[in-house]
Amino acid sequence: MGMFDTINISASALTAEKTRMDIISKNIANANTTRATGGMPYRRQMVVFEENKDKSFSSYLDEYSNKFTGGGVKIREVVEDSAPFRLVYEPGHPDANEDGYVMLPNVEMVKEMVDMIDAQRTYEANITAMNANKTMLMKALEISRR
Amino acid sequence: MQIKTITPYKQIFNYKDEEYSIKKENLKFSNLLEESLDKVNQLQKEKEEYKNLLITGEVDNLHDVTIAAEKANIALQLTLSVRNKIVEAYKEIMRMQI
Repeated sequence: MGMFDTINISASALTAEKTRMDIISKNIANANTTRATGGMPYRRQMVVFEENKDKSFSSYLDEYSNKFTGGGVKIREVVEDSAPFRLVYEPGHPDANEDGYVMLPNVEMVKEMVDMIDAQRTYEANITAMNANKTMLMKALEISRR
Repeated sequence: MQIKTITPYKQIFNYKDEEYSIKKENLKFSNLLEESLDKVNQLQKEKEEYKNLLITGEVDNLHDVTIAAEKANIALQLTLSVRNKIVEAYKEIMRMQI
């Protein structure tokens, strides 16, 4: 366990939340995109987080001897939401089918907004954790001062 | 993770001479100091690198830059703290009456 482990763990979380924010922005930007890959509407994307674990043998040994093994978080993959597309009656739209319905992306603005608040607050929480650790380190230095 | 009142640090609490006899050369104070200074320098260099990347606009995550700067700062503060202690000890010795 190094001196900067907490900071590194929090940093990994910051990067993960930032990527999540990127994906949310992408979803909002493409909320009305009717032509994405394969001529289909845009599909909402989500990030899947994974605990960043050292897969080496020694790390497993450490884990079983009650030692601290932790490496923060990483993004495993970006997956697509399989929810159905929204159907809106709009006969004048160039992408409307023969019945006059247009398939719009399965992006729900309210959901994205809530996710955005979540990502933002988690980012802030990680910064708070990092600052707390920094304060601890600085306090430790005060031991030597008179 | 088990939490005890004080997590024993192996090198301090289970110090055995024979165990470390080979490494004793590295346990010299000057070597330790040099090693630590190298680490601090490394962090400073990392910070400089990030700063350059920020100026040239190649940074993806802004927090990486601030974190690198903060790490360098903390390491430098620790170095200063140790240096102050050493200088203090030196002064104390020089003040000794002969």
